[in-house]
Amino acid sequence: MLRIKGGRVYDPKNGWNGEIRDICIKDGKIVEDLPAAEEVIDATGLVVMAGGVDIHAHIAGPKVNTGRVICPEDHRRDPVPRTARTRSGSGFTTPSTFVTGYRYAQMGYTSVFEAAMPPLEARHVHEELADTPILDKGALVLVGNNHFVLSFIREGDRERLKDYLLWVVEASGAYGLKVVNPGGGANWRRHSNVRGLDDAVIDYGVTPRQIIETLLDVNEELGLPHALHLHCNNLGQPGNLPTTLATMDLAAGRRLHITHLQFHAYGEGKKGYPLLSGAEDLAAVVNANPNITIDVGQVVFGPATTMTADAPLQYELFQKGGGDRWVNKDVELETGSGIVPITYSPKSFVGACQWLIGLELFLLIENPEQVFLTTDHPNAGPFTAYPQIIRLLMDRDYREERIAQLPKKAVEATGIKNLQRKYTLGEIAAMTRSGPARVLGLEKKGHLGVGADADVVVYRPQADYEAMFANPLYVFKEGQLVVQEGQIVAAPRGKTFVPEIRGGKDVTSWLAPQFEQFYSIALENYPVDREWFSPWEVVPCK
Amino acid sequence: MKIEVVLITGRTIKQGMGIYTGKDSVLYRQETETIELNAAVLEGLGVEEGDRVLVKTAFGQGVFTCRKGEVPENVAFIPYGLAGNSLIGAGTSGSGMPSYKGITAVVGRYEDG
Amino acid sequence: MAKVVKNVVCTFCGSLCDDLEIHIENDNITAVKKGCALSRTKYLNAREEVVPLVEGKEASFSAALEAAVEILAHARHLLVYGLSSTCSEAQAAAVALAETLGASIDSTSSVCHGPGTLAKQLVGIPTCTLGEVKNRADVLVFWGCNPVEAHPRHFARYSVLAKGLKVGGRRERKVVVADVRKTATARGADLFLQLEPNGDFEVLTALRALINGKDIVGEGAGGLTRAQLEECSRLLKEASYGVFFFGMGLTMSRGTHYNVSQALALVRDLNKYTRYSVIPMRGHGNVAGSENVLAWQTGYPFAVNFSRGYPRYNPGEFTAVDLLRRGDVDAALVVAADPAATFPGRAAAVLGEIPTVVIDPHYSATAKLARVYLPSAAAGIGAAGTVYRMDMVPLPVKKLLNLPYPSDKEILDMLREGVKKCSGSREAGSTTRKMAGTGK
Repeated sequence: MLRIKGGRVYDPKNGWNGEIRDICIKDGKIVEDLPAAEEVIDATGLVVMAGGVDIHAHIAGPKVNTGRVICPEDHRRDPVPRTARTRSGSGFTTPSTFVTGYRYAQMGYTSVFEAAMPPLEARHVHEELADTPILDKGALVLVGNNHFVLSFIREGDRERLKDYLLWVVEASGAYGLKVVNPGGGANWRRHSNVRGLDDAVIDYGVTPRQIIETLLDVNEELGLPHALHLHCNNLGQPGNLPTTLATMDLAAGRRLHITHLQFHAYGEGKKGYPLLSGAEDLAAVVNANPNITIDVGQVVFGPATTMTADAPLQYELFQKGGGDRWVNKDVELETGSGIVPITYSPKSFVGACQWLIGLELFLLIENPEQVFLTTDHPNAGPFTAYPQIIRLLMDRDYREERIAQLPKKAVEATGIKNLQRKYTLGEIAAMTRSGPARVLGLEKKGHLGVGADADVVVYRPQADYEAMFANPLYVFKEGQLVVQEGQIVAAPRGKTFVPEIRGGKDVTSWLAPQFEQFYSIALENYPVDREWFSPWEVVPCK
Repeated sequence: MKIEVVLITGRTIKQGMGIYTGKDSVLYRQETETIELNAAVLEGLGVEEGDRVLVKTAFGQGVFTCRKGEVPENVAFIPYGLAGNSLIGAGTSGSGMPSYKGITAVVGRYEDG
Repeated sequence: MAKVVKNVVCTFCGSLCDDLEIHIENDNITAVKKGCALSRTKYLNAREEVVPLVEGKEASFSAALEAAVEILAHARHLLVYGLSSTCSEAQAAAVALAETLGASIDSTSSVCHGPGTLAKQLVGIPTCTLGEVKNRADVLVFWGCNPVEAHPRHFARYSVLAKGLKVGGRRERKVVVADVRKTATARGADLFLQLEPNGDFEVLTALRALINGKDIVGEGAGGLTRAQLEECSRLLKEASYGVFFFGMGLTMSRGTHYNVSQALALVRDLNKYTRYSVIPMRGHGNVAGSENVLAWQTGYPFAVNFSRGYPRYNPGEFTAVDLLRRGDVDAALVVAADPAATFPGRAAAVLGEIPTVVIDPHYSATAKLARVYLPSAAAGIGAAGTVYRMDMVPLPVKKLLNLPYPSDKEILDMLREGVKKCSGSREAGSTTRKMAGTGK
């Protein structure tokens, strides 16, 4: 039992915007009050928030691990020694699992969602998540190019589609549904891609529009706790703005989370400008549609390892001269992935533009519970850059200083010059805590109200917000002190979130012969036993 | 009579089975103490299938039983195993991998020494 | 009491066929259905009467464990080696032990497909799962590998003979085999390329040139005529989805990882014209898992050293054959592998000269050289766990029999507990922590 006394508490969900409160912890949960005699931490003058929630990062599983394998140089410059309490490992853009857990916790993050799990390789994802200490986690399962999903959409068999999706979520131990470049992955099998919502998906007779529309509906009908999590078509292409706007239109009131919007916010270029910012148009749509949330995918200058289920995109990126290594993986009937290590340079027009467009999105989207802090780790940069990004949002002088160092043309290609906004601590708490927790459907995360998991972070207020958010004084995970003054003092095993599965008919009778014919493993060996990701917590449906 | 060949070691199904019948088993030992040579080479050496030959490399030597194989005249094949390993060098040229395939060996009748 | 366990994963080779039917009576395997000759031999010999040994003499398990702890705790530079014939849970326990002791840890990868991994670090890899091969591959290349003898059910389950979504069996697939020998695999090929020994790099380079519309100098390369090379490049480009398998013929011949990087680059180049993937034909049951576990825990796939408290990676330095040849290690722990039977004679002999501890379900050639032999319950027979196929697809293995000894993982955990208690154990490494850079 513990009382964190007299801190300035930032908790948007409970309407506490820096008010002085005591936070009481008992049995890993926040409680109303405690007897006066219990242990007290004096937080007078300190800032108190709930543990951070990362809605989208690539931290575990086959493609992350292949990224680690092919880039020894990434780890060589960032070795992490073992201590009496922690395991050794390495960084930098693709940290080892132990280091991933420690570094998130050291920034005050306690929940992270792995953004792209291939169902066939789910067991691998869970093995790595089990080796990622401290954090609670969930994984989003890739379904947007799945053979059965596309076949049922073509056939208009909504009931079987739902049965299958529930089965896949349960069998893979997923938390929610993830759609990546719908139709594009399927076409990549045929050396092709899609370029817009109405392009044909070869072999399936459907379009990206149909895939997104259907899955938006189905996600609602199944009542999954998380919104449909969508990586739009045409990622990274100059002129992809109309595709992204049209995709947002499809939501029509339904819950839609668009991930790494920055990569989808490029207007067509004009003479001298390879691309122009589309942030204003996109922010206007988000501002007008509370059902839509986004995370930014903020670019961080320096090395990155791009990795995504958008395999055709990665081939194009590599062909355009993106580095010396290209990885592609086609996963039977389900999905694929690609990996290309790259570097974002502040000297390049495109790199600078991407960096600026990300900031524009943060600053233009009014409600911080609709725009979340991500770097699409490790695609736009490592998650360890979050404190720096927070400083960019809170400290206008610092931001302008950084902008002044960028190529003039890039600055002109965006509307950044007009943006004066400074994020407040309350808004940071919304963007990194209550907002993502709400969209994920996690009632016990992202806030410090009674009944919440006692994930509590205590910061020393500092003028340098980067230093402040990089080095919390204390981090508690479910009531246990895990970080003190930047050092890991305990590394307990976190839990895995799974959704309540409501309804759904048995699919094995029709799936078994399909497995026999088209998969390379037995149906019996496909589902991941929950023991593999113990302990788990079931999150109620909507 | 001695001939120079390029030595290749590799997997065979009997060698694979022999791993689980035990490396002392007759199956494993017979298979891994065999050398496959082209029929013309056997004839040139004046040996027949089942005869023994002495195989030497820069790293070691061993006695192997001959078997006719579909290999070119300049190639000898020995199934992976303890016997073949004595012919392989432990250098890896910085790769971690010794040259188990493609090294020079001299084969002669065992009786000739 | 008789029972039949279905859908058992065979852990002999990297194909990890997961459809075996194992018949068990009185806790003994009596029959293996659907398996190949290799899997039948493996499972029918699953129960070997073995006892713990110290200095070649029978000992109690706890006495042997104590003797092992003594060796490990007092080693100044320990080599932990093997890991291919066990599950990922045991591999993780081995990494933890190596870290605790500041040891070097290496897997059978280094004498198997390690060069393929080095090649990935040079050029990346376009790859796919084996179901994609079954469903789509209309051109199959087997280069320096002999699946008919090393992966006997590969053709039927995944490749040449399999019927899948888009491609239905042998007649709809073209098969190219490149090898120095006319192997059993080569006999059924549509095109057999008989290479000169060590000619792989040259031939692959010539094929890359032809694929990319460039000419080659001279009348052929690596034992092949110009006409053969041209026919091959034409055939490769005609695929709608091609898959290139490679084996030890590339990794063990002169040039090792350069051979593989040229093969990976060839397959990468073919993706300009059509779709292609490449899969290393991994040999041992879960050698792929050892690469996975080491990579997610340390960042590096094999050849890792912990002497500074953090992982360092250097093939050629921290690879097992090199450590033994140079006499850099003063003790060895061998888990689920048999280096005495697989390493070059000179490196293998060192295992008998330094104190070696062996954990293995079988009394292996290495166990015979060892100071301490700890029998274990094999993963997939006496213990459950996770294994990774050659295409990195994870599979669960079951406990089929009650075997008298603990699993590899349990033994490794006991050793770690033991050395932590032992006074010889290292102090924890430095507590200094470097926060990741912020990209300024």
